[in-house]
Amino acid sequence: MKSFVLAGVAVLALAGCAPPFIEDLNRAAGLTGHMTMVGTVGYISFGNDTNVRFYPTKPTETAIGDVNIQSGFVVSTGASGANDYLRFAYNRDTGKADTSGSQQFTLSGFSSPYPLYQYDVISTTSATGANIVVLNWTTPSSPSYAFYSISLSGAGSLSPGTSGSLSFSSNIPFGVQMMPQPGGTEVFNFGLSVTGIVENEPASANVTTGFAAGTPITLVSTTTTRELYYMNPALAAAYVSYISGGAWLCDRITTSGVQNLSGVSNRIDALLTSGQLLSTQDGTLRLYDTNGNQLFSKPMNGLQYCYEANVGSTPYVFFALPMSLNHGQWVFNVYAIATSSIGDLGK
Amino acid sequence: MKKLLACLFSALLFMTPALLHAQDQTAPSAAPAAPVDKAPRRLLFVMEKGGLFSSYTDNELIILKRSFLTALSDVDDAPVPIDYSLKSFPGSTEDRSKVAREAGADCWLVVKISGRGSPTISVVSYDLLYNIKTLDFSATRHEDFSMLDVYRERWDDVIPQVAKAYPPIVSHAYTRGPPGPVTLTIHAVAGTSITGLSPKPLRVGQAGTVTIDLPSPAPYSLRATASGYVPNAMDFYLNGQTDLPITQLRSPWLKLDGAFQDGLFPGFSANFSIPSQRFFGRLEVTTYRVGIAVNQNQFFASLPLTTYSLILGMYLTPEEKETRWYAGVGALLRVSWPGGASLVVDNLLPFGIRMVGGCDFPLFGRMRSFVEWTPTVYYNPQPALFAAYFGNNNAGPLSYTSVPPFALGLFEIRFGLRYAL
Repeated sequence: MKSFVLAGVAVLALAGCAPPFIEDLNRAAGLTGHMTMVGTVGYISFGNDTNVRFYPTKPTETAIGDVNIQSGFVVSTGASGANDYLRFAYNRDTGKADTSGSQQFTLSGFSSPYPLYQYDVISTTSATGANIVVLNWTTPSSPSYAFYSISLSGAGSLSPGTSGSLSFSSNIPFGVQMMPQPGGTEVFNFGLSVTGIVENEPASANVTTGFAAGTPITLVSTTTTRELYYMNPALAAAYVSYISGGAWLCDRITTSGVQNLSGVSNRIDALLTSGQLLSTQDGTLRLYDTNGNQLFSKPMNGLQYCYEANVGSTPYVFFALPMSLNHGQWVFNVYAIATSSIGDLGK
Repeated sequence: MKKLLACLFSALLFMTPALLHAQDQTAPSAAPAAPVDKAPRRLLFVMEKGGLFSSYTDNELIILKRSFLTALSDVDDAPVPIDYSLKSFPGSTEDRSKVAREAGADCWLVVKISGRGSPTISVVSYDLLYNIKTLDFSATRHEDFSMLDVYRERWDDVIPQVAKAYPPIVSHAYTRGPPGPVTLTIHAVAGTSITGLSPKPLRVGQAGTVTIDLPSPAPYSLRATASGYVPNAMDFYLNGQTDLPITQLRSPWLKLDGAFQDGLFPGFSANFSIPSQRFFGRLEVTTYRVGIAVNQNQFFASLPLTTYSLILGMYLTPEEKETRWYAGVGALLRVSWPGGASLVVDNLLPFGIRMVGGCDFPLFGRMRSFVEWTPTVYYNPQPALFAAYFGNNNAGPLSYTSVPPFALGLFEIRFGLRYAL
């Protein structure tokens, strides 16, 4: 009797399974615990790709409780490190996601601390249809953009639409910011370099036909080179984040002049509609007030900042959590927190 | 007159044993003055070979057996061996005792030889008269048996203990005539209640003994219960012996488990119980920091996950049984401390209800072994993520099932060792 029991136990032990457990999920729990989970996309196989980033499609719902994101764009760096690959992924059925064919972007010439490509999901038409703008800053003096539309009901391919150079008369854009507007619309704010002047150039919502010039706001500036640029029309103030002497600096530019924000010593990745500045440099989430005073600093533990977008008339900050499962597979959780509550992340 | 006194004495002598009465005995019995004629015990002897590899041949086993019997016969007052020649000897104590009794023996001995080079001799023996296991040990030799010179083998690591375990007993124990009266002194913990031998329960006195007159030879069964002790049910064959010790173990209030869960992930638990009661409570911890699981990419798995359980259960089998079945239910909490982050309740499956059904059985001394089926219903707040986790290649051979908002872990097994304090 005992022998049979022990033999049975031995067999069960060999057939035993480790319990379901995702370490990435718990590692970021300190931050996601303050957020609302608004979707899961995956699993997706990337082989040996690295630097995986996820840009969820924009929500079309009007209440955060109704948001259920089922798709998004995935950017990853190939194993050789020579190219970035852009894919669109959407949940086909429970537990599995389909992906589009990948669009390849060369990374040659990338040496700046600034991102070579900027990706902005600009609209969502359905769970399998979305638009993304890819801005290429390979040549800062003449940056280009491409527009990608995706609809996987048919061929499931990722095909470029409008593409061209960003040209605003003779002015050269040195940075761009996408910002949600009241009423659910979004604008692109370009920083344009003119001697002694930075202009703000709102873009049309329909970028497929090119960026139309809006009403410029003239700001006094001393900046003419590539920088990260953020504009808050409500405050009539722009922020530039740039590296100088190996350190990240941040200036606030208004009509009355340029002011260095000494409290900001990290790269700024977003200017929120609340006027707060957000940094994710080195995987640490830092929030600054409009004067550059740091409000909190928290390790992100794998969480990625995606964008700020309106749900109904309320702006939310969206984050993605890529989770690596077994066999090179990935799943992305998407979280959101009201911009007005983002200070809770520091608790 | 002399005839009348003789008749009265004879009548008293024969009437007394017919009345099964008990009496407290507050002082040890006086030693018998007259010399007692003693007879050797009758031992059913079995020698087996063990081990999957390097086993001994049948001929070698016969040579070793003859060597053992020769050495045993050289010892004064040693039990008389009865050789058991059938192919296989039963495995359970009950079946072995039955075979021994049918063979006319009053005790049995199994000697198992395994391994060459450094053979191990495993010895198990049982006394049918006292219904106790007298020997259970192993001895390892540093040299192999020399088959060419095996008759010089004295078996000094076994035979002295066999002879000591079975000294001769009074010869009238083997009387084949009609049952006669024997005054049996039962030794047990003071206050023990003994049922099965008399119409009314016997009560062991403060001196730890109680006497009763019983016809002999005859088989008997008794059940001894005492507060704070494991009830003891025993069968014995009264064959002239005058003393019957009852081994009583204290009911443990605490049992400590060392266990493996979900494959080979280690855990510990403490089982609390009220002595002599069937209910128990268990606090259980299992860590997944290191372990073996076949559904991972690598053989060894390490997860920063710990589970805590509080189980309330009940033994379904009486305490005196060797194998005890039990069942329980309780709450389970999953806690994680991933690298670079704080201690958190697991986000995937934070808590659940765990059911337990299993049995434990004795190994040696206070050590027992157990195996449990521990199906668990987990709360699953992220069913889509859970489903993604179990995409194509992620599911193990015995996996979990998602039934939003729950996940069912139906194939969870826990087994290990249990030590009663």
